[in-house]
Amino acid sequence: MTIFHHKKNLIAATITTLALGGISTLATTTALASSHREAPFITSMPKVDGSDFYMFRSYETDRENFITLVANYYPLQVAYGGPNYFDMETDALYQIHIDNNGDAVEDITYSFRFQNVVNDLQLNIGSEQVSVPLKNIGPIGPGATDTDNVYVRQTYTLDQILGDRRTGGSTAVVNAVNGSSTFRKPMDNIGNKSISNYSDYAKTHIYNMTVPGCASAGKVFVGQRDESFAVNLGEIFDLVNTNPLGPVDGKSNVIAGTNVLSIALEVPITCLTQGSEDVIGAWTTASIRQASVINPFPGAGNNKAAAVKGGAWTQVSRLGMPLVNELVIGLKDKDSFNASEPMHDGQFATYVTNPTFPMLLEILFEGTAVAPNLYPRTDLVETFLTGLTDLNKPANVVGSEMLRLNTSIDAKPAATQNNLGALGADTSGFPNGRRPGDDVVDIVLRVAMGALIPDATIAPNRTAPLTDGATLDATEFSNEFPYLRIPTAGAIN
Amino acid sequence: MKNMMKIKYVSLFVASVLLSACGGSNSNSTTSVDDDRTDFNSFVVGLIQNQTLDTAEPVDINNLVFEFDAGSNPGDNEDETAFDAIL
Repeated sequence: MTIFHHKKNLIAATITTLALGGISTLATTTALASSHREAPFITSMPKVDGSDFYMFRSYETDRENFITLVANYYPLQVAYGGPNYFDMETDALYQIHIDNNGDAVEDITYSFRFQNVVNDLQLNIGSEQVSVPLKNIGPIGPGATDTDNVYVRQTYTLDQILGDRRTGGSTAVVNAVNGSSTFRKPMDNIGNKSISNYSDYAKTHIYNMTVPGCASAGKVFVGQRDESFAVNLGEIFDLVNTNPLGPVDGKSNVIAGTNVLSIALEVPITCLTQGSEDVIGAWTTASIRQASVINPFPGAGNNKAAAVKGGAWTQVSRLGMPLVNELVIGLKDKDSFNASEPMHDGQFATYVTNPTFPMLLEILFEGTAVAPNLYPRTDLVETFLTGLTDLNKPANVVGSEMLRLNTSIDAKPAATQNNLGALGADTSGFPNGRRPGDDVVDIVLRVAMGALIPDATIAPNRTAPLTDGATLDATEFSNEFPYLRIPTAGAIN
Repeated sequence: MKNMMKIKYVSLFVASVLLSACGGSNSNSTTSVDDDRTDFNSFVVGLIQNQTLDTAEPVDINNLVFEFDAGSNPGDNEDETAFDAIL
Protein backbone atom coordinates (compact mmCIF):
# COMPACT_ATOMS: atom_id res chain seq x y z
CA MET A 1 0.00 0.00 0.00
CA THR A 2 1.22 3.43 -0.90
CA ILE A 3 1.66 5.66 2.09
CA PHE A 4 0.93 9.34 1.71
CA HIS A 5 3.41 11.37 3.71
CA HIS A 6 2.26 14.73 4.84
CA LYS A 7 4.90 17.37 4.12
CA LYS A 8 3.85 20.77 5.33
CA ASN A 9 7.16 22.47 4.68
CA LEU A 10 7.35 21.14 1.18
CA ILE A 11 3.82 22.28 0.57
CA ALA A 12 4.62 25.83 1.57
CA ALA A 13 7.73 25.82 -0.57
CA THR A 14 5.86 24.41 -3.49
CA ILE A 15 3.19 27.09 -3.30
CA THR A 16 5.84 29.77 -3.30
CA THR A 17 7.99 28.44 -6.04
CA LEU A 18 5.41 27.12 -8.41
CA ALA A 19 2.94 29.93 -7.80
CA LEU A 20 0.05 27.66 -8.52
CA GLY A 21 -2.94 29.82 -7.91
CA GLY A 22 -5.16 26.82 -7.57
CA ILE A 23 -3.48 25.76 -4.36
CA SER A 24 -3.91 29.04 -2.61
CA THR A 25 -7.45 29.09 -3.82
CA LEU A 26 -8.05 25.72 -2.26
CA ALA A 27 -6.62 26.90 1.01
CA THR A 28 -8.59 30.11 1.29
CA THR A 29 -12.03 28.91 0.35
CA THR A 30 -14.10 29.21 3.48
CA ALA A 31 -16.26 26.14 3.37
CA LEU A 32 -15.96 22.83 1.61
CA ALA A 33 -18.74 20.40 1.34
CA SER A 34 -20.67 18.95 -1.55
CA SER A 35 -21.52 22.41 -2.80
CA HIS A 36 -21.84 24.58 0.28
CA ARG A 37 -20.78 28.18 -0.34
CA GLU A 38 -18.67 26.88 -3.19
CA ALA A 39 -18.69 29.95 -5.44
CA PRO A 40 -17.91 33.56 -4.57
CA PHE A 41 -21.24 35.08 -5.59
CA ILE A 42 -23.47 32.49 -3.95
CA THR A 43 -21.92 33.15 -0.55
CA SER A 44 -23.94 36.37 -0.48
CA MET A 45 -27.21 34.51 -1.01
CA PRO A 46 -27.38 31.54 1.36
CA LYS A 47 -31.12 30.99 0.91
CA VAL A 48 -30.61 29.98 -2.70
CA ASP A 49 -27.34 28.13 -2.23
CA GLY A 50 -27.89 24.55 -3.37
CA SER A 51 -25.66 22.34 -1.25
CA ASP A 52 -26.51 18.71 -2.04
CA PHE A 53 -28.58 16.86 -4.56
CA TYR A 54 -29.75 13.25 -4.38
CA MET A 55 -31.56 10.99 -6.81
CA PHE A 56 -32.13 7.31 -6.21
CA ARG A 57 -34.57 4.45 -6.52
CA SER A 58 -36.73 4.64 -3.41
CA TYR A 59 -35.82 1.96 -0.89
CA GLU A 60 -38.77 2.47 1.39
CA THR A 61 -40.90 -0.67 1.60
CA ASP A 62 -43.38 -0.92 -1.28
CA ARG A 63 -41.96 2.15 -3.03
CA GLU A 64 -39.55 0.37 -5.34
CA ASN A 65 -41.24 1.81 -8.41
CA PHE A 66 -40.49 5.38 -7.42
CA ILE A 67 -37.58 7.76 -7.74
CA THR A 68 -36.72 10.04 -4.83
CA LEU A 69 -35.16 13.43 -5.56
CA VAL A 70 -33.87 15.65 -2.76
CA ALA A 71 -32.36 19.10 -3.22
CA ASN A 72 -30.81 20.73 -0.17
CA TYR A 73 -30.55 24.50 0.13
CA TYR A 74 -29.54 27.09 2.71
CA PRO A 75 -26.71 25.08 4.30
CA LEU A 76 -24.82 25.49 7.56
CA GLN A 77 -27.82 26.60 9.58
CA VAL A 78 -27.22 26.90 13.30
CA ALA A 79 -30.32 25.44 14.89
CA TYR A 80 -30.84 28.20 17.45
CA GLY A 81 -30.83 30.95 14.82
CA GLY A 82 -34.02 32.68 15.93
CA PRO A 83 -36.17 34.61 15.91
CA ASN A 84 -36.34 34.41 12.13
CA TYR A 85 -34.83 30.97 11.69
CA PHE A 86 -34.48 29.77 8.09
CA ASP A 87 -37.29 30.40 5.65
CA MET A 88 -37.00 29.77 1.96
CA GLU A 89 -36.57 32.81 -0.30
CA THR A 90 -39.96 34.04 -1.52
CA ASP A 91 -38.44 35.89 -4.47
CA ALA A 92 -36.78 32.81 -5.88
CA LEU A 93 -37.48 29.89 -8.14
CA TYR A 94 -36.23 26.53 -6.87
CA GLN A 95 -36.22 23.89 -9.57
CA ILE A 96 -35.35 20.26 -10.18
CA HIS A 97 -34.74 19.44 -13.83
CA ILE A 98 -34.93 16.05 -15.52
CA ASP A 99 -33.30 15.15 -18.84
CA ASN A 100 -34.77 11.82 -19.90
CA ASN A 101 -33.31 11.44 -23.39
CA GLY A 102 -29.65 12.30 -22.87
CA ASP A 103 -29.60 15.52 -24.89
CA ALA A 104 -28.47 17.76 -22.00
CA VAL A 105 -31.73 19.71 -22.09
CA GLU A 106 -34.44 19.56 -19.46
CA ASP A 107 -37.56 17.62 -20.44
CA ILE A 108 -39.36 17.88 -17.11
CA THR A 109 -38.92 20.56 -14.46
CA TYR A 110 -40.42 20.66 -10.98
CA SER A 111 -40.61 24.29 -9.98
CA PHE A 112 -41.18 25.52 -6.42
CA ARG A 113 -42.27 28.99 -5.29
CA PHE A 114 -42.65 29.99 -1.65
CA GLN A 115 -45.01 32.41 0.02
CA ASN A 116 -45.11 33.94 3.48
CA VAL A 117 -48.37 33.72 5.39
CA VAL A 118 -48.47 36.42 8.04
CA ASN A 119 -50.73 36.38 11.08
CA ASP A 120 -50.05 39.68 12.83
CA LEU A 121 -50.17 38.37 16.38
CA GLN A 122 -50.76 41.16 18.87
CA LEU A 123 -51.07 41.47 22.61
CA ASN A 124 -53.17 43.97 24.50
CA ILE A 125 -50.63 46.07 26.31
CA GLY A 126 -52.15 48.86 28.41
CA SER A 127 -55.18 49.05 26.12
CA GLU A 128 -52.99 49.12 23.02
CA GLN A 129 -52.84 46.22 20.54
CA VAL A 130 -49.13 45.68 19.93
CA SER A 131 -47.51 43.25 17.50
CA VAL A 132 -45.18 40.67 19.04
CA PRO A 133 -41.50 40.38 18.06
CA LEU A 134 -41.30 36.59 17.88
CA LYS A 135 -42.17 34.03 15.26
CA ASN A 136 -44.33 32.04 17.64
CA ILE A 137 -45.90 32.85 20.99
CA GLY A 138 -47.12 29.39 21.95
CA PRO A 139 -46.90 25.74 21.02
CA ILE A 140 -47.03 24.67 17.37
CA GLY A 141 -48.61 21.45 16.11
CA PRO A 142 -49.15 18.59 16.43
CA GLY A 143 -50.75 18.91 12.98
CA ALA A 144 -49.73 20.97 9.98
CA THR A 145 -52.70 23.31 10.40
CA ASP A 146 -52.12 23.97 14.10
CA THR A 147 -50.48 27.33 13.54
CA ASP A 148 -52.59 29.75 15.58
CA ASN A 149 -49.52 30.74 17.60
CA VAL A 150 -47.37 31.41 14.56
CA TYR A 151 -46.68 34.93 13.31
CA VAL A 152 -45.31 33.99 9.92
CA ARG A 153 -45.15 30.64 8.21
CA GLN A 154 -44.51 29.51 4.66
CA THR A 155 -46.47 27.72 2.01
CA TYR A 156 -45.41 26.71 -1.46
CA THR A 157 -46.73 25.89 -4.86
CA LEU A 158 -45.27 23.31 -7.18
CA ASP A 159 -45.54 23.24 -10.96
CA GLN A 160 -44.51 20.59 -13.42
CA ILE A 161 -43.11 22.11 -16.60
CA LEU A 162 -42.71 20.00 -19.71
CA GLY A 163 -40.04 21.18 -22.11
CA ASP A 164 -38.12 24.41 -21.75
CA ARG A 165 -38.00 25.60 -18.16
CA ARG A 166 -39.19 29.10 -19.11
CA THR A 167 -41.57 28.54 -21.98
CA GLY A 168 -42.68 24.94 -21.57
CA GLY A 169 -46.17 23.90 -20.60
CA SER A 170 -46.71 24.40 -16.90
CA THR A 171 -49.28 22.55 -14.81
CA ALA A 172 -49.83 22.77 -11.10
CA VAL A 173 -49.07 19.75 -8.96
CA VAL A 174 -51.89 19.36 -6.46
CA ASN A 175 -52.59 17.61 -3.20
CA ALA A 176 -53.89 14.16 -4.11
CA VAL A 177 -56.25 14.18 -1.15
CA ASN A 178 -57.98 17.56 -1.38
CA GLY A 179 -56.91 19.00 -4.72
CA SER A 180 -55.23 22.03 -3.19
CA SER A 181 -52.32 23.55 -5.06
CA THR A 182 -50.87 25.02 -1.88
CA PHE A 183 -48.67 22.98 0.41
CA ARG A 184 -47.41 23.84 3.88
CA LYS A 185 -43.78 23.95 4.92
CA PRO A 186 -43.26 23.03 8.59
CA MET A 187 -41.82 25.54 10.97
CA ASP A 188 -38.16 25.00 11.73
CA ASN A 189 -37.18 22.93 14.76
CA ILE A 190 -37.21 25.79 17.23
CA GLY A 191 -37.13 23.53 20.28
CA ASN A 192 -39.29 21.08 22.17
CA LYS A 193 -41.23 23.71 24.10
CA SER A 194 -42.49 25.15 20.83
CA ILE A 195 -42.87 21.83 18.99
CA SER A 196 -43.03 18.90 21.38
CA ASN A 197 -42.65 16.09 18.85
CA TYR A 198 -40.93 17.47 15.79
CA SER A 199 -40.72 14.17 13.96
CA ASP A 200 -44.47 13.59 14.04
CA TYR A 201 -45.18 17.26 13.36
CA ALA A 202 -42.96 17.30 10.28
CA LYS A 203 -44.53 14.10 8.96
CA THR A 204 -47.89 15.87 8.74
CA HIS A 205 -46.26 18.00 6.04
CA ILE A 206 -45.55 15.06 3.74
CA TYR A 207 -48.16 15.24 1.01
CA ASN A 208 -49.39 12.77 -1.53
CA MET A 209 -49.37 14.71 -4.77
CA THR A 210 -51.04 14.30 -8.09
CA VAL A 211 -48.42 14.63 -10.79
CA PRO A 212 -49.91 15.91 -14.04
CA GLY A 213 -50.13 13.14 -16.61
CA CYS A 214 -49.06 10.53 -14.11
CA ALA A 215 -51.32 7.64 -13.12
CA SER A 216 -49.88 7.13 -9.65
CA ALA A 217 -49.57 9.69 -6.88
CA GLY A 218 -46.16 10.86 -5.75
CA LYS A 219 -45.00 12.56 -2.56
CA VAL A 220 -43.64 15.97 -1.74
CA PHE A 221 -42.04 17.45 1.36
CA VAL A 222 -40.22 20.71 1.90
CA GLY A 223 -38.75 21.53 5.26
CA GLN A 224 -35.77 21.73 7.55
CA ARG A 225 -33.60 18.63 7.89
CA ASP A 226 -30.38 17.71 9.58
CA GLU A 227 -27.30 18.24 7.38
CA SER A 228 -26.92 15.05 5.36
CA PHE A 229 -23.38 15.53 4.14
CA ALA A 230 -20.30 14.34 6.00
CA VAL A 231 -16.88 15.85 5.52
CA ASN A 232 -13.70 16.57 7.42
CA LEU A 233 -14.13 20.14 6.37
CA GLY A 234 -11.41 22.13 8.03
CA GLU A 235 -8.50 19.78 7.46
CA ILE A 236 -9.34 19.12 3.81
CA PHE A 237 -9.24 22.78 2.98
CA ASP A 238 -6.18 23.35 5.10
CA LEU A 239 -4.08 21.91 2.30
CA VAL A 240 -5.46 18.45 3.04
CA ASN A 241 -4.03 18.61 6.53
CA THR A 242 -4.93 15.02 7.28
CA ASN A 243 -3.77 11.53 6.39
CA PRO A 244 -5.79 10.43 3.34
CA LEU A 245 -4.91 6.84 4.14
CA GLY A 246 -6.09 6.96 7.72
CA PRO A 247 -9.24 5.34 9.09
CA VAL A 248 -12.36 6.26 7.13
CA ASP A 249 -14.00 7.33 10.36
CA GLY A 250 -10.99 8.72 12.15
CA LYS A 251 -11.97 12.36 11.89
CA SER A 252 -14.98 14.39 12.86
CA ASN A 253 -17.74 15.47 10.53
CA VAL A 254 -17.56 19.11 11.49
CA ILE A 255 -20.81 20.12 9.82
CA ALA A 256 -22.80 17.56 11.82
CA GLY A 257 -25.53 19.22 13.82
CA THR A 258 -26.16 22.00 11.36
CA ASN A 259 -29.37 22.05 9.36
CA VAL A 260 -30.44 22.55 5.77
CA LEU A 261 -33.72 23.08 3.94
CA SER A 262 -34.70 20.08 1.86
CA ILE A 263 -36.95 19.97 -1.17
CA ALA A 264 -37.97 16.36 -1.61
CA LEU A 265 -40.04 14.66 -4.28
CA GLU A 266 -40.96 11.07 -4.91
CA VAL A 267 -42.20 10.41 -8.44
CA PRO A 268 -43.12 7.14 -10.18
CA ILE A 269 -40.31 5.94 -12.41
CA THR A 270 -42.59 5.72 -15.41
CA CYS A 271 -43.42 9.42 -15.09
CA LEU A 272 -39.78 10.42 -15.37
CA THR A 273 -38.44 8.12 -18.05
CA GLN A 274 -39.07 8.39 -21.77
CA GLY A 275 -39.39 5.56 -24.27
CA SER A 276 -36.82 2.79 -23.95
CA GLU A 277 -34.23 4.99 -22.28
CA ASP A 278 -33.82 3.91 -18.65
CA VAL A 279 -31.25 6.53 -17.69
CA ILE A 280 -32.38 9.92 -16.48
CA GLY A 281 -30.21 12.89 -15.65
CA ALA A 282 -31.14 15.51 -13.09
CA TRP A 283 -29.89 18.68 -11.49
CA THR A 284 -31.26 21.43 -9.29
CA THR A 285 -31.11 25.17 -9.82
CA ALA A 286 -32.17 28.29 -7.99
CA SER A 287 -32.96 31.54 -9.73
CA ILE A 288 -33.74 35.01 -8.47
CA ARG A 289 -34.99 38.14 -10.14
CA GLN A 290 -32.26 39.93 -12.06
CA ALA A 291 -32.65 43.29 -10.34
CA SER A 292 -33.16 44.35 -6.76
CA VAL A 293 -33.56 47.81 -5.29
CA ILE A 294 -33.32 48.34 -1.56
CA ASN A 295 -36.24 50.25 -0.10
CA PRO A 296 -34.92 53.00 2.19
CA PHE A 297 -38.28 53.21 3.95
CA PRO A 298 -39.66 49.69 4.35
CA GLY A 299 -42.86 49.25 6.26
CA ALA A 300 -45.36 46.67 7.37
CA GLY A 301 -47.98 47.34 4.72
CA ASN A 302 -48.32 46.21 1.17
CA ASN A 303 -45.82 47.62 -1.32
CA LYS A 304 -43.43 48.44 1.51
CA ALA A 305 -41.10 45.48 1.25
CA ALA A 306 -37.48 45.88 2.27
CA ALA A 307 -36.49 45.49 -1.37
CA VAL A 308 -38.20 45.60 -4.72
CA LYS A 309 -37.14 42.79 -7.01
CA GLY A 310 -37.86 42.32 -10.66
CA GLY A 311 -36.62 41.27 -14.04
CA ALA A 312 -36.28 37.81 -15.49
CA TRP A 313 -35.50 34.80 -13.37
CA THR A 314 -31.72 34.59 -13.33
CA GLN A 315 -29.99 31.39 -12.30
CA VAL A 316 -27.49 31.73 -9.47
CA SER A 317 -27.09 28.16 -8.24
CA ARG A 318 -26.66 24.86 -10.05
CA LEU A 319 -25.96 21.42 -8.64
CA GLY A 320 -25.98 17.95 -10.13
CA MET A 321 -22.98 15.78 -9.31
CA PRO A 322 -21.50 16.52 -5.90
CA LEU A 323 -18.19 18.37 -5.59
CA VAL A 324 -17.98 19.45 -9.23
CA ASN A 325 -18.23 23.18 -8.69
CA GLU A 326 -16.43 22.71 -5.38
CA LEU A 327 -13.30 20.87 -6.54
CA VAL A 328 -13.31 20.62 -10.31
CA ILE A 329 -14.27 24.02 -11.70
CA GLY A 330 -11.63 26.73 -11.39
CA LEU A 331 -12.38 29.53 -8.97
CA LYS A 332 -12.66 32.13 -11.70
CA ASP A 333 -15.43 30.15 -13.41
CA LYS A 334 -17.48 29.05 -10.39
CA ASP A 335 -20.03 31.85 -10.67
CA SER A 336 -20.28 31.15 -14.38
CA PHE A 337 -20.89 27.47 -13.71
CA ASN A 338 -23.68 28.29 -11.28
CA ALA A 339 -25.36 30.41 -13.95
CA SER A 340 -24.93 27.88 -16.72
CA GLU A 341 -27.03 25.14 -18.24
CA PRO A 342 -25.78 21.62 -19.05
CA MET A 343 -26.15 22.11 -22.79
CA HIS A 344 -23.32 24.64 -22.63
CA ASP A 345 -20.92 22.56 -20.54
CA GLY A 346 -18.35 22.35 -23.33
CA GLN A 347 -16.98 25.61 -21.95
CA PHE A 348 -15.94 23.79 -18.75
CA ALA A 349 -14.64 20.59 -20.35
CA THR A 350 -10.96 21.29 -19.72
CA TYR A 351 -11.56 21.27 -15.98
CA VAL A 352 -12.66 17.65 -16.32
CA THR A 353 -10.26 16.40 -18.99
CA ASN A 354 -7.27 18.08 -17.34
CA PRO A 355 -8.23 18.32 -13.68
CA THR A 356 -6.14 20.23 -11.18
CA PHE A 357 -7.23 18.44 -8.01
CA PRO A 358 -5.20 15.22 -8.54
CA MET A 359 -2.12 17.31 -9.28
CA LEU A 360 -2.73 19.34 -6.14
CA LEU A 361 -2.71 16.11 -4.15
CA GLU A 362 0.51 15.07 -5.86
CA ILE A 363 2.10 18.37 -4.88
CA LEU A 364 0.75 18.27 -1.34
CA PHE A 365 1.93 14.70 -0.81
CA GLU A 366 5.08 14.81 -2.89
CA GLY A 367 6.69 11.50 -3.61
CA THR A 368 3.73 9.38 -2.64
CA ALA A 369 0.62 10.74 -4.30
CA VAL A 370 0.79 10.48 -8.07
CA ALA A 371 -1.82 12.04 -10.32
CA PRO A 372 -2.95 9.68 -13.09
CA ASN A 373 -1.00 10.29 -16.27
CA LEU A 374 -3.98 10.18 -18.57
CA TYR A 375 -5.03 13.18 -20.59
CA PRO A 376 -7.74 13.72 -21.43
CA ARG A 377 -9.12 12.03 -18.32
CA THR A 378 -11.68 9.91 -20.11
CA ASP A 379 -12.51 8.18 -16.84
CA LEU A 380 -13.63 11.51 -15.35
CA VAL A 381 -15.48 12.47 -18.50
CA GLU A 382 -17.55 9.30 -18.10
CA THR A 383 -18.02 9.81 -14.39
CA PHE A 384 -19.10 13.44 -14.54
CA LEU A 385 -20.19 14.23 -18.09
CA THR A 386 -21.68 11.18 -19.82
CA GLY A 387 -22.34 8.45 -17.32
CA LEU A 388 -20.40 5.19 -17.18
CA THR A 389 -20.71 2.72 -20.01
CA ASP A 390 -22.95 -0.21 -19.09
CA LEU A 391 -24.05 1.57 -15.93
CA ASN A 392 -25.68 4.96 -16.33
CA LYS A 393 -24.78 6.28 -19.76
CA PRO A 394 -27.77 7.20 -21.95
CA ALA A 395 -27.77 5.71 -25.43
CA ASN A 396 -27.61 9.10 -27.11
CA VAL A 397 -25.78 11.19 -24.58
CA VAL A 398 -24.59 14.74 -25.02
CA GLY A 399 -21.72 15.37 -22.64
CA SER A 400 -22.89 17.53 -19.78
CA GLU A 401 -22.67 17.61 -16.02
CA MET A 402 -25.65 16.18 -14.16
CA LEU A 403 -26.48 13.35 -11.79
CA ARG A 404 -27.45 10.29 -13.84
CA LEU A 405 -29.47 7.32 -12.67
CA ASN A 406 -30.15 4.05 -14.41
CA THR A 407 -33.68 3.50 -13.21
CA SER A 408 -33.66 -0.17 -14.19
CA ILE A 409 -31.22 -1.07 -11.42
CA ASP A 410 -33.06 -2.19 -8.32
CA ALA A 411 -32.65 -0.32 -5.09
CA LYS A 412 -31.00 -1.93 -2.12
CA PRO A 413 -32.28 -1.66 1.43
CA ALA A 414 -30.23 0.53 3.70
CA ALA A 415 -28.68 -2.38 5.57
CA THR A 416 -27.09 -3.83 2.44
CA GLN A 417 -26.02 -0.62 0.72
CA ASN A 418 -22.30 -0.08 0.27
CA ASN A 419 -21.42 3.53 1.01
CA LEU A 420 -18.80 3.45 -1.73
CA GLY A 421 -21.53 2.82 -4.28
CA ALA A 422 -20.32 1.42 -7.57
CA LEU A 423 -16.71 1.42 -6.31
CA GLY A 424 -17.94 -1.00 -3.66
CA ALA A 425 -19.73 -3.17 -6.22
CA ASP A 426 -23.09 -1.63 -5.33
CA THR A 427 -24.35 -0.31 -8.63
CA SER A 428 -27.50 1.11 -7.08
CA GLY A 429 -25.38 3.90 -5.60
CA PHE A 430 -23.16 6.77 -6.66
CA PRO A 431 -22.27 7.58 -9.37
CA ASN A 432 -25.40 5.78 -10.47
CA GLY A 433 -27.54 8.43 -8.86
CA ARG A 434 -26.73 9.34 -5.31
CA ARG A 435 -28.23 8.11 -2.05
CA PRO A 436 -27.99 9.88 1.31
CA GLY A 437 -25.63 7.21 2.64
CA ASP A 438 -23.13 7.32 -0.22
CA ASP A 439 -19.76 8.64 0.97
CA VAL A 440 -19.19 10.77 -2.09
CA VAL A 441 -16.12 12.50 -0.67
CA ASP A 442 -14.20 9.25 -0.41
CA ILE A 443 -15.56 8.04 -3.74
CA VAL A 444 -14.58 11.20 -5.58
CA LEU A 445 -11.14 11.26 -3.96
CA ARG A 446 -10.49 7.72 -5.17
CA VAL A 447 -11.91 8.29 -8.65
CA ALA A 448 -9.90 11.49 -9.00
CA MET A 449 -6.72 9.53 -8.28
CA GLY A 450 -7.57 6.85 -10.83
CA ALA A 451 -9.82 4.25 -9.26
CA LEU A 452 -11.55 3.71 -12.60
CA ILE A 453 -8.30 3.46 -14.58
CA PRO A 454 -7.30 -0.20 -14.93
CA ASP A 455 -3.63 0.39 -15.70
CA ALA A 456 -1.55 0.86 -12.54
CA THR A 457 1.33 2.30 -14.52
CA ILE A 458 -0.94 5.17 -15.52
CA ALA A 459 -2.65 5.49 -12.15
CA PRO A 460 -0.28 4.27 -9.42
CA ASN A 461 -2.74 5.22 -6.67
CA ARG A 462 -5.72 3.55 -8.30
CA THR A 463 -6.27 1.16 -5.40
CA ALA A 464 -5.38 3.52 -2.57
CA PRO A 465 -8.26 3.64 -0.04
CA LEU A 466 -8.30 7.41 0.11
CA THR A 467 -10.52 9.10 2.65
CA ASP A 468 -11.15 12.46 4.25
CA GLY A 469 -11.67 10.63 7.53
CA ALA A 470 -15.37 11.48 7.91
CA THR A 471 -17.82 8.86 6.82
CA LEU A 472 -21.51 8.11 6.70
CA ASP A 473 -23.77 5.30 5.59
CA ALA A 474 -27.40 4.57 4.86
CA THR A 475 -28.18 3.26 8.33
CA GLU A 476 -27.78 6.78 9.69
CA PHE A 477 -30.82 7.89 7.72
CA SER A 478 -34.50 7.08 7.73
CA ASN A 479 -35.82 4.25 5.57
CA GLU A 480 -38.80 6.35 4.62
CA PHE A 481 -39.43 9.40 2.47
CA PRO A 482 -37.92 12.00 2.72
CA TYR A 483 -35.09 9.86 4.18
CA LEU A 484 -33.06 12.73 5.62
CA ARG A 485 -33.01 13.05 9.40
CA ILE A 486 -35.15 15.47 11.39
CA PRO A 487 -33.29 18.71 12.01
CA THR A 488 -31.22 19.46 15.05
CA ALA A 489 -33.36 21.32 17.56
CA GLY A 490 -32.61 24.86 18.60
CA ALA A 491 -33.26 23.99 22.22
CA ILE A 492 -33.96 20.80 24.17
CA ASN A 493 -34.95 20.70 27.84
CA MET B 1 -32.91 62.47 8.14
CA LYS B 2 -35.09 61.12 5.38
CA ASN B 3 -32.94 62.71 2.69
CA MET B 4 -29.80 61.30 4.24
CA MET B 5 -31.31 57.88 4.16
CA LYS B 6 -32.23 58.31 0.54
CA ILE B 7 -28.68 59.27 -0.28
CA LYS B 8 -27.50 56.19 1.54
CA TYR B 9 -29.91 54.03 -0.35
CA VAL B 10 -28.84 55.34 -3.73
CA SER B 11 -25.35 54.18 -2.88
CA LEU B 12 -26.52 50.87 -1.59
CA PHE B 13 -28.67 49.91 -4.52
CA VAL B 14 -25.66 49.68 -6.75
CA ALA B 15 -24.45 46.74 -4.76
CA SER B 16 -27.85 45.13 -4.77
CA VAL B 17 -28.33 44.86 -8.50
CA LEU B 18 -27.61 41.38 -9.59
CA LEU B 19 -25.11 41.42 -12.33
CA SER B 20 -25.77 37.95 -13.52
CA ALA B 21 -24.66 37.17 -17.00
CA CYS B 22 -26.98 34.58 -18.37
CA GLY B 23 -28.09 34.17 -21.92
CA GLY B 24 -30.58 36.35 -23.65
CA SER B 25 -30.31 39.59 -25.46
CA ASN B 26 -30.40 43.16 -24.38
CA SER B 27 -33.90 44.49 -24.00
CA ASN B 28 -35.48 47.75 -24.91
CA SER B 29 -35.74 48.63 -21.25
CA THR B 30 -32.45 50.46 -21.18
CA THR B 31 -32.01 54.18 -21.60
CA SER B 32 -29.11 55.25 -23.68
CA VAL B 33 -27.01 58.00 -22.15
CA ASP B 34 -25.04 58.36 -25.35
CA ASP B 35 -23.97 56.00 -28.07
CA ASP B 36 -21.87 53.87 -25.74
CA ARG B 37 -23.35 54.12 -22.29
CA THR B 38 -26.46 52.93 -20.53
CA ASP B 39 -27.99 54.83 -17.65
CA PHE B 40 -27.87 52.40 -14.77
CA ASN B 41 -30.85 53.80 -12.89
CA SER B 42 -33.27 53.63 -15.77
CA PHE B 43 -31.89 50.27 -16.78
CA VAL B 44 -32.80 48.83 -13.39
CA VAL B 45 -36.24 50.44 -13.44
CA GLY B 46 -36.81 49.07 -16.92
CA LEU B 47 -35.81 45.59 -15.85
CA ILE B 48 -38.25 45.59 -12.98
CA GLN B 49 -41.10 47.21 -14.84
CA ASN B 50 -40.81 45.40 -18.15
CA GLN B 51 -38.93 42.15 -17.65
CA THR B 52 -40.63 40.66 -14.59
CA LEU B 53 -42.02 37.69 -16.41
CA ASP B 54 -41.60 34.00 -15.75
CA THR B 55 -40.88 33.43 -19.42
CA ALA B 56 -38.38 36.26 -19.90
CA GLU B 57 -34.69 35.64 -20.48
CA PRO B 58 -32.22 37.60 -18.33
CA VAL B 59 -30.65 40.57 -20.01
CA ASP B 60 -27.03 40.06 -21.00
CA ILE B 61 -25.15 42.95 -19.43
CA ASN B 62 -21.63 41.97 -20.41
CA ASN B 63 -21.45 44.38 -23.30
CA LEU B 64 -23.14 47.28 -21.60
CA VAL B 65 -21.19 50.23 -20.29
CA PHE B 66 -23.13 51.65 -17.40
CA GLU B 67 -23.31 55.30 -16.58
CA PHE B 68 -23.89 55.71 -12.88
CA ASP B 69 -24.22 59.44 -12.55
CA ALA B 70 -26.76 60.31 -15.20
CA GLY B 71 -30.36 61.26 -14.56
CA SER B 72 -31.73 64.39 -13.02
CA ASN B 73 -28.59 65.14 -11.02
CA PRO B 74 -25.76 64.26 -13.35
CA GLY B 75 -22.41 63.94 -11.73
CA ASP B 76 -23.40 63.27 -8.15
CA ASN B 77 -24.86 59.75 -8.34
CA GLU B 78 -27.32 60.76 -5.65
CA ASP B 79 -30.57 61.06 -7.52
CA GLU B 80 -33.07 60.55 -4.75
CA THR B 81 -35.93 60.12 -7.17
CA ALA B 82 -34.28 57.54 -9.40
CA PHE B 83 -36.38 54.65 -8.15
CA ASP B 84 -39.59 56.37 -7.12
CA ALA B 85 -41.37 54.64 -9.95
CA ILE B 86 -40.86 51.21 -8.40
CA LEU B 87 -40.84 51.95 -4.68
